[in-house]
Amino acid sequence: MAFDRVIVATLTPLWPLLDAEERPAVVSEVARSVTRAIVIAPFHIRFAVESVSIVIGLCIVLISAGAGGPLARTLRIDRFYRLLQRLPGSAGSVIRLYRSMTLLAFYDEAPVAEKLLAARPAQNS
Amino acid sequence: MNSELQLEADAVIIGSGAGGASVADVLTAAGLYVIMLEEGGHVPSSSASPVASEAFAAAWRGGGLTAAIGRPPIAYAEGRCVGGGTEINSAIAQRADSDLLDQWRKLYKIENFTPDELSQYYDRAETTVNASLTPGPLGRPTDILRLGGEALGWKVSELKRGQRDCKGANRCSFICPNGAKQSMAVTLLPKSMDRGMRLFARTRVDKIRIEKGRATVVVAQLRDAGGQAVHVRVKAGLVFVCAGAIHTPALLRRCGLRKRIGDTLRIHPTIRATALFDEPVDAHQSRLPLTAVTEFMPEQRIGGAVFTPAVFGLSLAEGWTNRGELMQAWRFCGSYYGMVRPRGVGSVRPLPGINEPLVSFKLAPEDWTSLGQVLTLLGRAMFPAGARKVIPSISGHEDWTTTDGVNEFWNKPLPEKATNLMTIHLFSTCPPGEHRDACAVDSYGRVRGVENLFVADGSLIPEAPGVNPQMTIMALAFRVAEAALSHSAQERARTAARE
Repeated sequence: MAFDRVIVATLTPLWPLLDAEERPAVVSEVARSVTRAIVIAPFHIRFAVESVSIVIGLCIVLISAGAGGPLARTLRIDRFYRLLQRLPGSAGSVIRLYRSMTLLAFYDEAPVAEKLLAARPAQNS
Repeated sequence: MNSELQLEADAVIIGSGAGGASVADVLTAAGLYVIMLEEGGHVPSSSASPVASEAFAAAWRGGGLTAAIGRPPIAYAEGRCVGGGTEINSAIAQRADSDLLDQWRKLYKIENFTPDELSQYYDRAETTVNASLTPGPLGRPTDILRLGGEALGWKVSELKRGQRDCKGANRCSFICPNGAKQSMAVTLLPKSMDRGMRLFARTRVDKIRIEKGRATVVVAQLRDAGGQAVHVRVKAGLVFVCAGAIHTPALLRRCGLRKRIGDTLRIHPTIRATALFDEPVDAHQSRLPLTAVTEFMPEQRIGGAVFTPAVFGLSLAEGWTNRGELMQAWRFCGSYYGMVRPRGVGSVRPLPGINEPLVSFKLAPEDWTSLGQVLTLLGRAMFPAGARKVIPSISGHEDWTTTDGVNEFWNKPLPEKATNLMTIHLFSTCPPGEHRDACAVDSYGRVRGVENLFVADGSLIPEAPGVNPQMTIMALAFRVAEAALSHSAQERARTAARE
């Protein structure tokens, strides 16, 4: 679904940093994986996700359109997600579900896993 | 619908997990011709994916996206593949506490249910899966839990598992890639198939026809390799429902059997915490923690979870805005959990026209206290083991950097809306016994009012056992199958005498 890709792209972590040509491919693969997961989810979860994701996706498109640069866009979308997660009802749950599925798929992507393993252990923050 | 398959057998078993496979073992050993129907597909070890999202899609119900409705919703996991939950669990082999068994026997009036009487069935279950201590070094995640618990003077136990030459791939939840985990697909199912059992995978049961107090036909739909639906009808003298604590009551209720069925779901509500250390833990290279703090069992237990970068990322998802940076220190982290035996109860209700039932669970006030305490104990254990920081799975909550900080929920319930809970243990939706106001089935798993219909899975465990349930599920399923055989033999003798 087009809206899955829009949402997944904004929820995909920036670390580990991927090469410019790697990132779009990874995001596409993660979006495919998230869509697959939603398709096999129980009906009540699928129904909530499919109905809310259209609205969230449209909001993201609108927010991004007026944001200017990528950093401003990221900050605006982050603020939007924080707001959604504070709201009662299904919107916050849907975002959490998208984030969970995105993270699960992202860190298993071969280029990401390679970079994770290559990252110096001294990165303990 | 393209075609129809009409089958006949001595017995039909619905579900191929710990319960179904144990029933099959008893029946096929007695020479019965058995047909087994399994909703999920077969995922052989050789094709088990190391990628979490693919593994979940292949072997977990709903790809892992299943949750009980409540405040808060509780995410739960169920296996949906040949071998059921035994393919995705950690294969930890524990018996239910003897005092609890006695308590259940008295409360539910369960016949022949003393610890001594159940012992032979537990022995059989443990032998089947080769319940044993895992060989070789257990790794730092295990050491952390042991060090922390022992420093506080608590009882810490090494856990036996159903394994043979475990290689430590750390992929227990994804289907063991080495066949070392002694799951049902490795142990009892091949044995039963060698004795003539036919197993139909990707076959979902829609209904059990019940006429004049007998289950007569099981109606199912099989998806063949090309994705085509095939209508399946199985006539059998004995019918065993072993579809797990969610789908067994859902199926029975769809068949009009509702009395006390699906009204008493119990789980082990589980809360996670991540601990950050100064030295690398490298949990992804180790076995999952194979010790547990057993000092507070059966009410509370502290243990560790499977760790891969992806699963760790998933565990941070709820509080990602504040905790996403922790991912950069993933090699310094360990994932641990505290689980409790709740007083709260849930329910399972089928929804017309929809495959997945509605599952709800309501935690009791004392469950919140117990969860706060087990989280505190878990946090306390991490600091003597060298943790610099403990991060509870409470969205938006600050991290703990001292033992004093950890104590905040000892006398205070956890925040309901922000606490993230999950469970992998579900049971008690068809409690057995002769107490007719409380029990869905008789002492031997037979559904009341239906002569030849039996339940044999986690639904039968009367309440949360406070330990991993696989051994208890197998023990109860062996017992149900033996009783059904004996009942069936008596029935045949009576019929012969009448004729």
